[in-house]
Amino acid sequence: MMKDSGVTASAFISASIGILLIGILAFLRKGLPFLEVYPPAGTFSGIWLYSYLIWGGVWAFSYSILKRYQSVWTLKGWSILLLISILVSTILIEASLVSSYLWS
Amino acid sequence: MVELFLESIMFLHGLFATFSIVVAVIIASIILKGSLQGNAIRGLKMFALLLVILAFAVNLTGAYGYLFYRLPTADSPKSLILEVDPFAHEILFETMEYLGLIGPIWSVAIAWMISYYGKQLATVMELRRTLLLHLILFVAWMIAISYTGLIPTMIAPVG
Repeated sequence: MMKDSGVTASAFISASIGILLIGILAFLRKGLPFLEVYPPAGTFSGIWLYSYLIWGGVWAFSYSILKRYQSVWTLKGWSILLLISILVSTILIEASLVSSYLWS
Repeated sequence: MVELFLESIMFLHGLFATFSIVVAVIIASIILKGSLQGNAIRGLKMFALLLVILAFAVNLTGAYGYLFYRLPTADSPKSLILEVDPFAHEILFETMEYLGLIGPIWSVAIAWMISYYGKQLATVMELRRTLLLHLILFVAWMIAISYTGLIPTMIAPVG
């Protein structure tokens, strides 16, 4: 028997959201001055800080809710969701970089 | 003294990135071998922890070097690269800068699967397949990210 997947779900949901947030913040970075948390590192500092805080926060929150559920979707499903979030984040980042490069 | 420290940090940055690829390949090869008994599972968990430490270490050393890379001076690596080849900074380096942040989160997800499911890795084929898929993609992703960081620093190294 597989261990309960409520805990699996919280780990993968938080990772997917954290990764997706990296892509979204990187895509919108030029219009979000609050991302310059540490000015010598530019917007990189805020993208790092906020995405990792949200990742940890969502993990703790979703864990407290989902830990008692024996079955929440499947490992395969959560795994695909994580890979899709990586792909979407990559597309957002590259789209933002290529557009700034072409139109700067 | 500061330059020597920076050079050492950047050397470690490359070393940690290389080791994280090696560790991910070792984990994949242990899983592929198939006979996952007590010692193999313990080994897998140790390598998984090492992968997470290395992924965070790559980011932390990279972030330290990044402060010197983007100094607002005419002779900073960023300024020199922008003069010679803007593509190397604006596409390659920045790809590493932002996509690189995904690494630690992904490595934690991989390590979590190994430590949480532990002994079940020996019996549940779906788990092994899922983990292998993540490890193969993680290695490919690490190699691609390392490449995007390597090209700009060949034009103007940090430190």
